[in-house]
Amino acid sequence: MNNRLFKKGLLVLLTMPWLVTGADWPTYMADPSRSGVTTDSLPPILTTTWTFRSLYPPRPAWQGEAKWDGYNKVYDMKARQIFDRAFHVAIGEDLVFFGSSADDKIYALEAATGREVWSQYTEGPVRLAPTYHKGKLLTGSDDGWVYCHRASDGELLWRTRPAPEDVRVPGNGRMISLWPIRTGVVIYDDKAYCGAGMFPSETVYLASLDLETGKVIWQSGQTDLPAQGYVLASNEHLYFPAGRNNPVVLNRADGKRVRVVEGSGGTYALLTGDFLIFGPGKTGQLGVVESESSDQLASFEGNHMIVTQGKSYLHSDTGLSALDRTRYLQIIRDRKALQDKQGAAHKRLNELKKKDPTTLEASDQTTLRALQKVILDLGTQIDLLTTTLPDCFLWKINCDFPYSMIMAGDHIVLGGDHKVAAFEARTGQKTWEDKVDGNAYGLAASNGRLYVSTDKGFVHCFAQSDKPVSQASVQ
Amino acid sequence: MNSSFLTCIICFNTLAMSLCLEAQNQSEFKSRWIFDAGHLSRSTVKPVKGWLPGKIEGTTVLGKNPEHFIFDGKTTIMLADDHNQAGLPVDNLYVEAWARVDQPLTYGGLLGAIHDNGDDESGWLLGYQDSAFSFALASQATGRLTYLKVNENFEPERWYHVAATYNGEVMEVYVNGELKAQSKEQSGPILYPTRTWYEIGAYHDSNEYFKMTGGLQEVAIGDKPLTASEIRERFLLKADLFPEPEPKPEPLELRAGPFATWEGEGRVRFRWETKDAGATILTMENERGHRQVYLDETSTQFHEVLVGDLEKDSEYHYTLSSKSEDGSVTSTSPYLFDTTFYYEPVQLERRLQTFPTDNRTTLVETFVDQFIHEQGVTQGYCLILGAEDGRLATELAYRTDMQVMIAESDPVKVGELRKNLDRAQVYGARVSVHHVKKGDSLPYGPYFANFITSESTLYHGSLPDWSASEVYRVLRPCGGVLKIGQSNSGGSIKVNAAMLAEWGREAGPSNLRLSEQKGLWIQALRPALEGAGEWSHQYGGADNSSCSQDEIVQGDLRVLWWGEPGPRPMPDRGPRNPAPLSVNGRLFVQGDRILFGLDAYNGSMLWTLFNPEMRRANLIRDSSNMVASNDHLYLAEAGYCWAIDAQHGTLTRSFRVPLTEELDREYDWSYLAVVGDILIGSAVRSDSRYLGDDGEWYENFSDQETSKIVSESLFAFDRYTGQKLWEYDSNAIINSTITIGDGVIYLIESGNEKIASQLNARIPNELLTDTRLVAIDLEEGTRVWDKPQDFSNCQYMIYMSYANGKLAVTGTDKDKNYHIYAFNTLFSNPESGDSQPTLQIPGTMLWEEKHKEDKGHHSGHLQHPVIIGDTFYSDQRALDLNTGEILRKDLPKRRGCGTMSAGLNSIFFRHYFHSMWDLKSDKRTQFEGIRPGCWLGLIPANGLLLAPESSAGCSCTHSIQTTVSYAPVGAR
Repeated sequence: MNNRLFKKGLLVLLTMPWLVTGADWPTYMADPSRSGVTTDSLPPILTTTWTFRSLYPPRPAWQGEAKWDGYNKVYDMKARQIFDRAFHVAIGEDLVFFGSSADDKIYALEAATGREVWSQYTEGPVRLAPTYHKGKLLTGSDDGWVYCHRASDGELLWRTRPAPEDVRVPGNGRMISLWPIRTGVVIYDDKAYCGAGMFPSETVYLASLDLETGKVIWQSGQTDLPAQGYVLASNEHLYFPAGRNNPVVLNRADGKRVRVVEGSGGTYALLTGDFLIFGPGKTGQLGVVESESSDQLASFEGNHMIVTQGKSYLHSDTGLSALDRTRYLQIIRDRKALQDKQGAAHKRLNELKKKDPTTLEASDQTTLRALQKVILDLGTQIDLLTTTLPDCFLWKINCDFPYSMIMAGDHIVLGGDHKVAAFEARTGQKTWEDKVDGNAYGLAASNGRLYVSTDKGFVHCFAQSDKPVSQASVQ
Repeated sequence: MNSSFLTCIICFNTLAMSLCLEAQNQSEFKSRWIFDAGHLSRSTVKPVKGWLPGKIEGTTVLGKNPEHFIFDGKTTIMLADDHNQAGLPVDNLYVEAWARVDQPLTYGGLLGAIHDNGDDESGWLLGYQDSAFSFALASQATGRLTYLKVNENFEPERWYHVAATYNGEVMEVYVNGELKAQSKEQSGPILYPTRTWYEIGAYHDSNEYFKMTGGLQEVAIGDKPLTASEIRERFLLKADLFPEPEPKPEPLELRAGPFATWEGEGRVRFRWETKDAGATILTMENERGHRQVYLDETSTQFHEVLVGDLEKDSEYHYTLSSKSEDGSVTSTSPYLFDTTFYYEPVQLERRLQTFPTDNRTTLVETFVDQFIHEQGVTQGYCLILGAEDGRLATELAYRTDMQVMIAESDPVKVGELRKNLDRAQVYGARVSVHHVKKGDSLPYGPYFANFITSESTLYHGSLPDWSASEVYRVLRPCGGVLKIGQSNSGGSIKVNAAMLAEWGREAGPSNLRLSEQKGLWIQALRPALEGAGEWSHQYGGADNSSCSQDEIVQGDLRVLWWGEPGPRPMPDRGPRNPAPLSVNGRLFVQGDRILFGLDAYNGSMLWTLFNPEMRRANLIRDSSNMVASNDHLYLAEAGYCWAIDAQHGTLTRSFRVPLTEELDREYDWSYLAVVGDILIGSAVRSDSRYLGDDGEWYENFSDQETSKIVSESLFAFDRYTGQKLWEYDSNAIINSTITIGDGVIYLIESGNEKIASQLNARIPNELLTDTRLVAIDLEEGTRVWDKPQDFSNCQYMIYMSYANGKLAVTGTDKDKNYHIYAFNTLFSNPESGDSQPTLQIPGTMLWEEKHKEDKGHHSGHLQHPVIIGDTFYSDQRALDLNTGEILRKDLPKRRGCGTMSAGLNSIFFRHYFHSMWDLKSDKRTQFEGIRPGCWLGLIPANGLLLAPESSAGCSCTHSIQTTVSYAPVGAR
């Protein structure tokens, strides 16, 4: 990692170009950068106002990773190609939208009541959340089609198949397209972007679509990587997660590939400024990559991250922490410099030690002793810096909400095992907790309401309510 | 002052003193780690004192009473991979641990940073040697380590406080507060290596890594030696927290099993056989420690328990126990059962009356009844060509486990059908409706449909909207059923026989036929594809040719299906695991102690069978534990071979190793082959197999990796009657050489009598002397011929393959030179220029070839050969099997571990990814993004290339991990 990258990183990480400020949560994790942040605050005390229950639970395409990597002795590996454990929601026009991998439908529910306003069929599982934009709702399905419905009443405006053929084969236990849409659809500058395909040997098609007609503006075939995981967009670029591999960066204007970034793979990703943060890697690491580079700048232990001005919130299986990012990165940089020096001294020392001891000259002996001292001194300095790293954490709490994280107003919301909770961003203090049915893998917040999607097929809506809990809207 | 008040004061004072001492001692420590829930996360241990966290390299399991970290023999806690980063004490040292060692080691570690490599000795370690605690330390004054060992053994599974001090003059070891050993061999500052690991729970240096099995509750280190009285106080401070070890039951001896099979979601049936009769006890414990005990007092050797209400996606540990008549209880070690591995389709419950009860009700129910009764097809995919109201699809979804597809050309009907099916609560879950334009080709890949019918034809007699040849294209070979027409139970038959016949004729004169049984139908039962091969044994067939004889798989391939099993249930990719098998349209995959039966043409999971004792690895030096036939999968497990129904996964028959009753020794069923009605097996001393459970790769040259598994007898059964046909006794048959061709079994055996005295049947090269090439009659078990032959150059491995009357023995020596020997198996007159050709007797060596391995990496020296026709492919070369002439040396590059497989027209291998060499076009193709494992994972069979997931554990970033099948483009 070089200093230039670090300095640039420090500057850019301070920025936060996307911030959902309205009442909508128009796409997965709020915006094209998948920040998971809205300025909308949630009421301090939330109550379940309605619950949608799917007759059948979500059917994710993939199971988890192997139990271990025997050769490298890596244990507890994280699932790197799962993105559809729950029905993630998008919100617009006071409607809650989601697709179902259980019954192949797209749903629109009234945000206030959970009443079904409309639903539409597709011909395969809908694994990723739709995206709402200016009265339209765009959804990708495993049947290989991108659907555009009028958000208010569900009328089909157009549908487009990015792949050149309609070929259906058994895939993940269902009869689906050989080129399923497993990137969701991202909209930027009134254009839609998505990817179709799994197997590079069949060519994977990345495409830009005209929002009005669905016509393909450009199409880019890739023959080395799949497209799996929510696509992200910035002003210049598109970022396509590639399942267990690392995201592919494309020019948004013409679809030309810019690079494949370095890292340890995974379908979770967010953009902050020109930085891509993605994971969870082998065992739960989030890599930070600058958009102009494929190199990884830094990595953090954790499953999810929220980035705000000057602060990062890191979320792991067992904890949540707030980090003074500027200071932390500075220390890491300083320590890395010392470690590089120490490594060089080690190398020199080992070279001397390889020599026949009987042929060592007095000067060599002196050098040897000096090197040993340098190594020890540098070790002490490294230790010293390491001991200051914990000071960069503004706060840390142990908590057992490992599955999801968003930020609403001045609160962090976390999803856990049959539960969900809110934490004050300034202090980490838990301010609210409630039960949900299943593991809370999906969170969204809009207009004072919190939506929690679980792996049992529930969508819970929490809001401030003067009334007792209303009747559950059960399908 | 009453006594209780006095007690309170004493208690308070004791507590206060303890807290005071705790605080005082804590201040003396440089670092201290306590292994309780408050300091443990999934991957790290937070220090109580100091800044250095421990990184858990392995599995985090927290024990109770008191809370402690459980070391499983594979897990350690890494503090620093360079001890220089840890700032360790130099002049004085105090180190202590509350430890429980369950399995002694020659060199075991609790905490330390040590280096001991020949004369290069440095660092220190608090640990144990065999069953005694020890403290090793090297000072700069001596440059050598002193291993100060306590002169009395610890008791496994008992907690101890172990402490060691070094004050620059004296080393001391204390156990439970008492001084147990002392040495003045070392003096002055501690000598540290340039770099070593600072680690908890292991003895780790550059050439040794021994991991602890046991528990640690606390570990601490300081740079000021504590006095004897302080150490005793440290011991007393926590001594009462640690309970006496629980008495362990005697181990339960199993004869077979346990086998576990699903009986619906959350319901599992366990079966096992014990050596002695006793009560049946099964204890299940979930991840939260909740236990449930299933007990049946009936004394039996054959045990069976049905367990219900298991939670989804959870791991359970279960123990089998038995209680004898005298009341003594014996138990197995805990086994793991993972409910994640449930792959049944969505189970439907009839909740709603969606359709009216009318004539169609009877019509549909009768049709489905007849179909299930006559055909027995209940799994896979069903295609309905045209539908009216969706009742047939709904009935099929409810009555079978099939996924049902409706192809309908009328868009209005499509909408209505979806609404009907949604109301019936089956849309998406089990039934899909696809709008497919009339006259168009069907949008499906080939071969997927187990059953094809038409609701529109059933109701109205209308013909399907798509041509019969196109419909036949998607019908599954090896038993797919097409039945389109009308039943006479539904009133008058409207379908026109001539038109129906005409429609069917288009698919070919013999494929579809008219039937008037209970109506008027056009129907088909699709046979196996012409030219399709099968992969019934580890290396293709019993001939070990690694060729399926499949003529179909060639040219450009396209993905046919993908799905489970994924990486989660599979063994780690490295340890040379058993190959998948495929016969008669089915695919069999061996996971990590779990078997899967799949439909090879659409990936439908037919069955799963769990068996925690089923595992075999290092097949380079052994034979596989499974073979397949048209109707059964055969699995060797312990002393049995089990016949498993290929379609349903049920255990239909067991065959027992004949030797078990006759000798005072337990034997396992080892080698397996099926030829016709004959099941061939071999007996090997129990517990000789390789398990590959520790991430082994078996790539290097050492007895631990290259010792060959040998059998002491070969035998045959009639696989249908169970009758034993014959038995052939031997000193030592090398399993990896047993080969069958043209009615003869060929093998290599060693006559070295020293083998008999070995502890198990893993025999190192130095004992595999006095070797003979032997031919045995398959029907009779009699020796046909044999011949002494030296194979001592086959050291890394030794394989034998058969083709066209020739035997080829392949091995590499310790310098990775290939040695290939070809033998004649028949009397023959080879053509020669001589006027009097020489008569060759069986066993005559035809040619011999030696070369340095060409590949040079990743198992290049271990490659199993492929024989296609008369061409022998080995390493990077192709040779004429008859003459040994080298035909080419440019076999495809094969980056990565693994070995080749073949059909008649293509060779398959790993070159980073799934890869293929088309022999006719010489085209070499990579299927990017997905890779096979480290042995044989790509099999051409049934006209397909089948690639079950076998890359599990690869922490590399291959983008897809799944089971996948490919078919030639344009396959019909």
